[in-house]
Amino acid sequence: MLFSKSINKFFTMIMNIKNKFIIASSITIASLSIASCNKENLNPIPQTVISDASAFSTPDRILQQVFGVYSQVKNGNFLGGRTHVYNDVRGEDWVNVTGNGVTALGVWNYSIVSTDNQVENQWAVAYSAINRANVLLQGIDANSSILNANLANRYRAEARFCRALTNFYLVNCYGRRPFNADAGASLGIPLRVNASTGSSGAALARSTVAQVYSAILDDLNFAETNLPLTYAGSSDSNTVRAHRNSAIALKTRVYMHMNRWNDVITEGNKIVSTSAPFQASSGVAHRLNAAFLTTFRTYNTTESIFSLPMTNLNSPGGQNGLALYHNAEFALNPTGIIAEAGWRTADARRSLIVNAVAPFRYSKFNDDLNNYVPIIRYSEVLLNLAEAIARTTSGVDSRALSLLNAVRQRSDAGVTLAPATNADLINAILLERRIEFLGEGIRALDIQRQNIAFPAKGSLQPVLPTTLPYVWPIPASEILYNSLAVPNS
Amino acid sequence: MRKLITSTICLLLLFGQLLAQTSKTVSGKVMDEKGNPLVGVTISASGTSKKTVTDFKGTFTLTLPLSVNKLRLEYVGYERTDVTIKGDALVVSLKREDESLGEVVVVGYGTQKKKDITASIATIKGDNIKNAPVQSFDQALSGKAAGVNVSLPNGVLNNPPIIRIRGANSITGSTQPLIVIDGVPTFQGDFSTNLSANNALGTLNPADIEDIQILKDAAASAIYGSRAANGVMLITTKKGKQGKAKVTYDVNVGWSSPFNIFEVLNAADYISIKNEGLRNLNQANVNSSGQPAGAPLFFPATINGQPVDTKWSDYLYQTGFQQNHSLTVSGANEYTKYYFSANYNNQEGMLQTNTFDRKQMRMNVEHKATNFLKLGGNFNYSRGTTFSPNSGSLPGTPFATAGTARLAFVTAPNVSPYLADGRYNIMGIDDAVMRNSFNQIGRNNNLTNSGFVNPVLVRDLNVISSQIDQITANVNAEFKLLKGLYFRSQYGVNYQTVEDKTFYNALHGDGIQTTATTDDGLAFNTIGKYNITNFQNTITYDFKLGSNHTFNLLAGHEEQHVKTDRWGASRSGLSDNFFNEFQGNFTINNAPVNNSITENYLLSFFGRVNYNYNNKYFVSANVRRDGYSAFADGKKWGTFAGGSLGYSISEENFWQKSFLAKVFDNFKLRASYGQVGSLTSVGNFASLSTFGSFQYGLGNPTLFFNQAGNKDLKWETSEKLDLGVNFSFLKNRLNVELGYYNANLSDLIIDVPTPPSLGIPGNTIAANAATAYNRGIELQIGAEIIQKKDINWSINFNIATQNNEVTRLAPGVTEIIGTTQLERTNITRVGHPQGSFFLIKTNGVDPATGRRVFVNNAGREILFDFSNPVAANRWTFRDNGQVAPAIDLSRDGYIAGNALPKAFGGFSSNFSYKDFDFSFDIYYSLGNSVYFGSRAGLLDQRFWNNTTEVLNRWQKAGDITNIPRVVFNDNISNGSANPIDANLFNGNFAKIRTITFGYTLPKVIAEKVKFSSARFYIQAFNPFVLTNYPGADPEISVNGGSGLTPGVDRNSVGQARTINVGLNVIF
Repeated sequence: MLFSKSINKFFTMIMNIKNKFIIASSITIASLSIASCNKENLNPIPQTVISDASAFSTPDRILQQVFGVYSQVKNGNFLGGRTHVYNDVRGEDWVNVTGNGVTALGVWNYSIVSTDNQVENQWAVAYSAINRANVLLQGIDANSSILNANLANRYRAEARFCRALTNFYLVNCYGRRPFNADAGASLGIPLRVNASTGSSGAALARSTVAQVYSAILDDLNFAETNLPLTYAGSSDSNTVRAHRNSAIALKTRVYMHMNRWNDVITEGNKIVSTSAPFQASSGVAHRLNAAFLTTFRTYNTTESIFSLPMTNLNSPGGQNGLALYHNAEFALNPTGIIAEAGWRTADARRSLIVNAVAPFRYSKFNDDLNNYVPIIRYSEVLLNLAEAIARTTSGVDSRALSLLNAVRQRSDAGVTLAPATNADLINAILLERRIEFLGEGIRALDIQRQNIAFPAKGSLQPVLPTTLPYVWPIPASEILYNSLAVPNS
Repeated sequence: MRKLITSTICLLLLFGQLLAQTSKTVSGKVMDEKGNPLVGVTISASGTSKKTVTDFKGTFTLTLPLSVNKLRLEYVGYERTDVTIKGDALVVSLKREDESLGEVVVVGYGTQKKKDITASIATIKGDNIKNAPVQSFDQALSGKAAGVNVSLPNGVLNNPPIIRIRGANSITGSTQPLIVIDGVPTFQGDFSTNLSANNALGTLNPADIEDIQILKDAAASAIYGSRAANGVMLITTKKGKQGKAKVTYDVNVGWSSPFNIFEVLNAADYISIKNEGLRNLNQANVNSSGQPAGAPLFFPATINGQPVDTKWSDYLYQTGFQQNHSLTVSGANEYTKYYFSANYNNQEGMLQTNTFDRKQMRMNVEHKATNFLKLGGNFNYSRGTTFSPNSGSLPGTPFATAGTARLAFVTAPNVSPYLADGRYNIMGIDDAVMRNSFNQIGRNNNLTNSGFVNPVLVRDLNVISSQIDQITANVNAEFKLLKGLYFRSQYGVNYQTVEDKTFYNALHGDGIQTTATTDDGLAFNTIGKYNITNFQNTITYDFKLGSNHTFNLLAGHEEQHVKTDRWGASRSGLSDNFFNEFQGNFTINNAPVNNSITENYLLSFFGRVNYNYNNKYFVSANVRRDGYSAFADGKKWGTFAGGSLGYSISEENFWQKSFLAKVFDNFKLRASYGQVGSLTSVGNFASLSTFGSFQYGLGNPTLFFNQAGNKDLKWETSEKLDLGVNFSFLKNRLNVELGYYNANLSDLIIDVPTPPSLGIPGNTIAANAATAYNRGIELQIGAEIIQKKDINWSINFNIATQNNEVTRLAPGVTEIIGTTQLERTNITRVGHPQGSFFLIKTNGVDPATGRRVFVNNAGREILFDFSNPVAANRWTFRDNGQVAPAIDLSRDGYIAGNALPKAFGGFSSNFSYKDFDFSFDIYYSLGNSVYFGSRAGLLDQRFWNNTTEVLNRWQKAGDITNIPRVVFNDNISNGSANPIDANLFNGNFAKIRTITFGYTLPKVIAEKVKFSSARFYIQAFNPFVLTNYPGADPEISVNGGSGLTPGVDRNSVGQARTINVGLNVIF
């Protein structure tokens, strides 16, 4: 009642001004002025992302972009997880357990099609990594005042190392035939070398496999020249970032895929001593760890030439991690490598087999939230070099054999391999690779570089190199939206 | 309580009462036509300031100067009446206004007389929906208005319905209309970030709704400019009505249960079918369990001497109990209107552990402070809480391994939920490594995996919830500046906090990290704060020029800020299974989840002119200029306008002189046209190119290109034409509205795909690229068939057709694939309706071999044989037996049907006889197909259990059947791996949405127990469905309102059937 009266009184007073328009217009003006001073609200600034205008404005941001490239290479749909799984399970050493269509069942039984998520995702993530590298390369060029020339080239080298690595996996998976089938004459993949920030340049034809390899080597040569010998500070950087020896090590693998054995030897010799104990004499002092498992539990040792780091806060994501596949989705094929009689129980690598009866699991990787994913290890360089020497020599080359035994004896000191012929030596090296890299995504690469059939496994017959299931289909979306792309046929 | 209310009301009635000086005293009584006293009738004496209102008995006393000899009586809903004072005791009866003519309709930023409206506006009365057993009012709107399609995509509690007004007006953006409650735009849709759906509209108590106006055409909606393309829904909440305090109490209790759920094999049939599949596979067992080729892997089991035959749906579905209580107190005198309400609603769903709970309070007050100032305010607080299992029914989740909808049927029936000792049956329960590496239900005697997770354990131990606390409030003031000239200002807020909690147990299911046993158990919580602040100022001017030109002018300004601030955290490594809350002890902190900060701002100026000449010719025009923050720089401002013409031809002399006047009571033609916009497809910062950040390994922060912006991004445009005719005949007992609409949509935003090799983040760039149209006819008929003293019967019928076609996508892009989480199901292709089904053509089963017949893009038939050990030889041409290329959806798929209905509508009937009433309403939808993807899973030949349909499988040469020969692990023949047209079915349906039977207590009895009225009712929700669709529910849509993937039924739950009984009492 009191309230009501005072309101009435107040308004009666105002009414005495005898001009209600004054009230109304002042309210109107007040509200419109509130409105007009809020016009800056029409241009809000996002609080959780950084504008493209300032993404290269400081050396720190550019360094963060370097890590941004690595982080996409380690995406769980690519080298942080699935790509290794795909390259493993296409081979003969694994069997599918769960029948789950989204966790590599179709990859394992060669039934994937162009619309498959696995086909699409790996491709898209890999190309996104390439574009991050290209955006970084363009940004470093366009902001030349921010970095000194030396650092700029170092970052360029890291970007190009990542681009080369990515192109290598892409071309092996999606290229119509391996380089060694026809010296790279088949269709490879679109070779993206320019930064894409809009839709221009969408249409791009597939380069030949040879052209892609040439680009990979170009990038790796630049990387070798410009990468640092080592990173100061934490040893982690020497594992999770590319340094000079990383580029050299990757080159040994790339040349293997081109059957350029002499180049493998040249590159290998840059980081492998002539005799045991084998180690790198410049840059990061690579050597084998004394115990096999150390590499997979300590992660940033000198054996790990390049690995992708995992932490709780930066994991491969659900259904992507290696441990999941090795211990749940897939099991070791009872008639695969574990049936190999020469692989003794005493071998440290064999002791990682879980269960005495099928399904056999493999615990090389046991924790997807922490296990680094190795991309290239020193033992691979040793075996690459050994194979290249064996293939360019006759008989049983002693250095090749010594390299092979360095790898075998690290895990099983009780064995000295002694192949009788050159062919036996090569076979022993290839067999050693199946054992040493079991679960590390090397098997399909090894099969394809030799241009041999994927062997039979379980109910599946061999897949011959000329047939379409030998490689992956180009993703449907690429065919649909890239007018110059053609499917594998 | 009652006393308190009464005294409150007395206090309110005292407000503003004036003292009077006496000369003569007049008293009297005011009644309605039936002789009931009318309470709160305003009685004033012209030429003086004397006035009073009638009391509870309808009587009044007024002291007047001797010169006064006339009184004016005014009462809402009744005709204004002047009486001459004769004697000192008057008895007056007031006549009801003709409701249909005087009815005032809320339109954007004002009101308009219903008879003056020439735009297309549908009205739904709140009383029509308040008793429905729904969680949010929008779920009750199906079939209620022509052209307004409201479908419920699943039966998960408080999951938002899909609303499409006159078709889908956007391809990738939301098609939901703008929803405005008492003038303030509100939040709508699922605000939960986890698997417990929580529609923000569930916070509104349906019983508080007075009415809903749905603005369908541009003439009505253009005043909302860039937000109008999907139509506008204006909700007005209840206000007090003149008279003494009215207290109402509505209560209902009900029971919800599933219907039409799948009939799957029992244990014996399951074992026999699966082992038959193994024999047919006739190969080395791919599971490497050491069994010889073709050997059985599935065996009967017993637990504690009882054979295991588990009907999993019994463990996951239930009959859920629900209750709803609403209490309101409302009233008004000539100065103040008030309305208070409180609501408690608690529902259990048909899925176990699915619940919804609402506690809500509202206060609406309107006060006439002086003769030129009116003040008002609304305040609503509400808390809506949902708990839900992982239902697998929400968009993006149908393939969730732990999705209840699938687990209830595909889990092997010959395994048990519990072990003999009562513990849960899971693989390696005593061995953490085994347990984690399988993370599957135990197998009993089977030799291979027999299910995904144990759904009973997950049901018991996982907890997923979402809670919305919402405050909506607005204050407003209206100044009368001159006669007919008003200035109104309103400030409103809608603040809501949403807390989502998820706990996954460490024993089994989604909380298992599979490989790092120390990390098991997972909890993640998210808090989101969502704010709308809205400020509006309008000036309206109503005036007449001469006696025939009536004008109503409006000018206004509105600005609105919408902000989201949300963060979440995640922990794993549960230390003890006792804990099931985030705050319990976990040993590992994970990356944050659901972080988001975003905002948008809308600044607008608008105006409207309504004009009519002698109630015969009507003209209206709207214009609005909107500046919106999300549009690209230089494209911030857009102008939108609409107008209409109306011609009340029945007012013409020639009409009134002709026989037509005898047939029609009125006849009105209307036409409207306008251009309005939609901004829902424009992300708040979509025009900007940005770099996101995270980390690489330990301590290496990253920065990376994460969005390719489009510097030309602006609103979507809808150019709407509406033509219509309204007429009524048989003394207004039959009302017909017939209309034609055509919306040409342009600048539609699509995420224009870029080839993935280009490396653009997300492989798309949003652009105003596409065009499409929606056209159709709407018909609404209302008939008062019987209007007698004791018997009343009215029916309403409506139908709308819709014809949608995409006419352009983007340069070089003629189709966009629609993906249902993992599989491609739909395609939006130029020249076809959006979201059409894109499937592989099949042609039954080959009687000779029992193989599925696929048809490739050249029309050649290809047989598939999963049992062929050579992968490359599995596909063969039917005509020559030679190896064929594998069927590939992208190459061999075709448009197999349309997903959007061609016609839909409703039919309702209300019948009453004396104290009994009976009503029902039907919602129907015609002319679309539904992709029954669940069937692909239910016929999958992996360990999955099958529907009993599999018993018709091909077994020997010559068998004619639609089910191929079963081959163990075959996930291709029945469409699991790639969708096939054998799983596409006609989606026509008519659903009786509600049937209600009510009984109102006779007045004499009611008064004895001190009620002014009391009605009991029993109601069935979804009691009957007429359809040939073989799935659970043809209304289902597992992708929610997605425009690219409508009409997909994949591993999700249909709606529940609810029976409830209730009581509405007015004191």
